[in-house]
Amino acid sequence: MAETPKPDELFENIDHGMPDEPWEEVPPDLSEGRFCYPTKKKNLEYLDMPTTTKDEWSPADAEWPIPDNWKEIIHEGFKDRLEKYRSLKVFMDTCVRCGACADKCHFFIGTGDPKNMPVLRAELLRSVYRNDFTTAGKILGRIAGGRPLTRQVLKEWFSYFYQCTECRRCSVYCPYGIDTAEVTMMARELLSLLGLNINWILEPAANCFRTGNHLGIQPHAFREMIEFFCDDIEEITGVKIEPTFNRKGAEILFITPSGDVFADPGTYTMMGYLLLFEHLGLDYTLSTYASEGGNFGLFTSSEMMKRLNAKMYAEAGRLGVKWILGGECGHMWRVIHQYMDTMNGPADFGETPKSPVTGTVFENAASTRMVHITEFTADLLRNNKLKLDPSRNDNKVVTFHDSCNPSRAMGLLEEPRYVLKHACNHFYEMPENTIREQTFCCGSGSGLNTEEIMELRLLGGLPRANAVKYVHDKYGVNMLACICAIDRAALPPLMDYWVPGVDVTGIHEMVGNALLMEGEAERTMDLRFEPLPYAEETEEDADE
Amino acid sequence: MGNRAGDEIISANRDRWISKWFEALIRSYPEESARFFKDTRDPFSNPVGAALEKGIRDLFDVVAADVFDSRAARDALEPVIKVRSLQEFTPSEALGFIAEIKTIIKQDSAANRQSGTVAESIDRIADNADRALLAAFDIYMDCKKHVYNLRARQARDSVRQLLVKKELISELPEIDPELTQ
Repeated sequence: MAETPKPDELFENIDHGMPDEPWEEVPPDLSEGRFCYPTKKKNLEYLDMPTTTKDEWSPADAEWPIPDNWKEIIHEGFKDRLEKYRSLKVFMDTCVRCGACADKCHFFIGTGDPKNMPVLRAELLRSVYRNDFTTAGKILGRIAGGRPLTRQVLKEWFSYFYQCTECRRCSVYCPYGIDTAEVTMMARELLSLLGLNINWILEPAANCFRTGNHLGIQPHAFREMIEFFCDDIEEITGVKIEPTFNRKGAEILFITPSGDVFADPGTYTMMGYLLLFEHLGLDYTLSTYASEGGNFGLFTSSEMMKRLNAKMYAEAGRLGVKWILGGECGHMWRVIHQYMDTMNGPADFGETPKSPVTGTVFENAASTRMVHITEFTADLLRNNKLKLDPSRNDNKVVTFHDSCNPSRAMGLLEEPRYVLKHACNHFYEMPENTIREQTFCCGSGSGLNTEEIMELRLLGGLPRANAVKYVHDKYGVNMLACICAIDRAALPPLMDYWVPGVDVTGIHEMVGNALLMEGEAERTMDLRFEPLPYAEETEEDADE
Repeated sequence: MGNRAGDEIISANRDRWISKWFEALIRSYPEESARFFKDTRDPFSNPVGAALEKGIRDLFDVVAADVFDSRAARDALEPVIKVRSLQEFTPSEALGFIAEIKTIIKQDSAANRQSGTVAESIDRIADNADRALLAAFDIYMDCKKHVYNLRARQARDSVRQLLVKKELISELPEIDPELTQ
């Protein structure tokens, strides 16, 4: 019988050293739980995208279902994009590997995997670029930092470009302004040429293309869901709201991510919007066709992004509205603020947005015709147009998570804070290097909010959660506010794991709680049907 | 109970042993990451490094104590294991660092082992480290279970709520206590 090894011997056998192979030869971990499930073929077919050669497959498989001429497809695709996008060529050429970005990625900070350093993640693509497209690389190969495209490199791309949330924190620190998110976007486009995309992105994109929103909520169901919220609002406030749908001639079209319609806690934010519009007597309508602000095309390809974005504008034109008011969404605003103008714009309907309540003209949205709701509400507050009782939120000690895209892609830093500080009495900031343009990602953006990679998401979200824990411990923060539907879905499990006792909200849920509505009954509950702080006190007083 | 000679050895070597233990833990990461975890001092830029460092420091006090305090062990270990159970380690790799304190101390105190009282203190640390390792397995499994629950919850809630709201399925109503009386 073999002798049982002693614990010391076992521990001595654990190799803590660096692997002997250079980084290029360390294979990616594609075991279950470390990758997002690949897309179903039907989604690709529905979107007229290239497909894999098999219906069902797993990234854990040794052989991937890609066509025999896959190398040629990628090479041609890469070449096309280098010619089309000067930015890509610049990003491939300019990096001097200074390392400023290396420790800025939440996935690197959490996982400790060097290939999650933005510089190294981009190097996965850059090394192939050097090998195939630069003279030095063609002649000197590896000495010039080039490496040939192999099946293992392809697997590495799939692993690490779907471990990037395109949050652009690294770009803030890059002295050359390299937008690493765009490197990821290009890599995902190349992978998509072989049908290698993930289900959590492609299914919503296909649904959006067909039914108008990510989950595939059909028009009648969308309408019923909103009416259901109106019933809840009536129960809580005594005010009956009757929004209109697809109404031609309305002044404003309101579009929000569909997460606000079907997923808690976004639904409470939706109720907040409805209360605000009623409070103002706004002439607005909702569309059951353009029923999604989110644009998962951003995570697929520029072509898909353009197609999905066009839908909102087509609907605005069809209804004849003057402008679009957009809800609390993250990446939708990157698409609108940074890409829409070159892709579909300038908008071919309506006029430069003007607040019907304050008369403020939103010149910043002259071309896109779309205003962010926190800009709109901040303007209302600045002009004293809202009646609020912030003490209704007194049981909530609030902090604000700057959602990556509104903060870094559109510079929306002050407006959400301005609104929050009016709607709540207890507000505390997280540490400076974790907020505003330096904000840490929720760890689940860009289509990675899928349950099979929960461990990775929790590690990616650790830097954010760690800063929340600090204000939770120091000030008793129990509510994390944000302006992104993916945040509202991703942050609750993140808080549950790292900072139990902190809940997640949208800004307009806080506004909805605080709004003093004309003709309302005395409120005893907030929008979650939980007792208001002073209602609790009154009950206690009555007991005494 | 503690003894004077043993306590002196422990307090004289405390910082050095903690630092070696931390090094052993950090060596489980690739070189570039290890450097970052070790050298980046801001806890908000480097939450993992901060958790690991504090964890080792607290854990040392637990294993060096006369009596093993399981509550203190959990408090020291939990922030570390919460991170390590998610990272790309097997369970033994994730927790193996705990036992390394035994090797560190053994190597360092070879010269002092002749003294019976010192040996006693060193053995106590080894015993406490074993207990901490057992406690660590419980925490590790708690973390894993937590993650599985979060996964299951997301899968369940993503559709269920829609079905309820659309009244495609019906939830049991709250029972009015007055009616049951």
